[in-house]
Amino acid sequence: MAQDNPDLHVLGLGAQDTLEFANEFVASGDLANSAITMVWDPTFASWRDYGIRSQPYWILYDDQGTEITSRPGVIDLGAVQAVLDA
Amino acid sequence: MRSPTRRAATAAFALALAATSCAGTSSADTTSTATTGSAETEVAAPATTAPVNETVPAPDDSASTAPSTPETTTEPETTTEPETATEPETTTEPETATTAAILQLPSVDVVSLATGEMADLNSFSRPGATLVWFWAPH
Repeated sequence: MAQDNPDLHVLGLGAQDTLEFANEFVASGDLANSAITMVWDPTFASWRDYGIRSQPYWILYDDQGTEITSRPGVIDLGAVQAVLDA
Repeated sequence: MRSPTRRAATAAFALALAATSCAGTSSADTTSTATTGSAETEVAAPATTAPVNETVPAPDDSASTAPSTPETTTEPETTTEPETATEPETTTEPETATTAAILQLPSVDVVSLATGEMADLNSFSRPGATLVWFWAPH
């Protein structure tokens, strides 16, 4: 999705477990070569800041930084595309 | 019948009168000459005025300076400033405003899995729409 939408920046913000697990996750999903920016938060502070209590979870912001959607579960590609087409 | 002595006295008197009148005339001539001389000096004065008039060209120089002032044409430069049209810059500002609208992420130290180095999460913010995906390895 990120590769098909250059205007969309996808930031993968991981937490929990260990850095080793995080790297294995990225390698197994071949995410290292994707257009997704993958980072891992060892302190969990970022998730607490967002109020994230479960995963996966996703939040979509428009190009003005306004939050459009915030919900748990699998990413709704249709909703994301609708924002990009707007 | 006059005596020779009387004739001589009369001649001497006449000569004295003539001499006196000549002296007066000569003094008058001298005066007039002197006056004429002063008149010439006055004429010379206008000659002096002439050089002053030559100095007048100085104003001509200033006049020539006057054109140089228009050459300075500060006005055209001023015209250039309006052309600088702060408007275009203003146009750039809105863009900057858009850039300022870049998503602000929490200032938290995270590990970049691309480089393995620690960095501020906010440094990964990019312009445009953003999808933050929260994931866990397990």
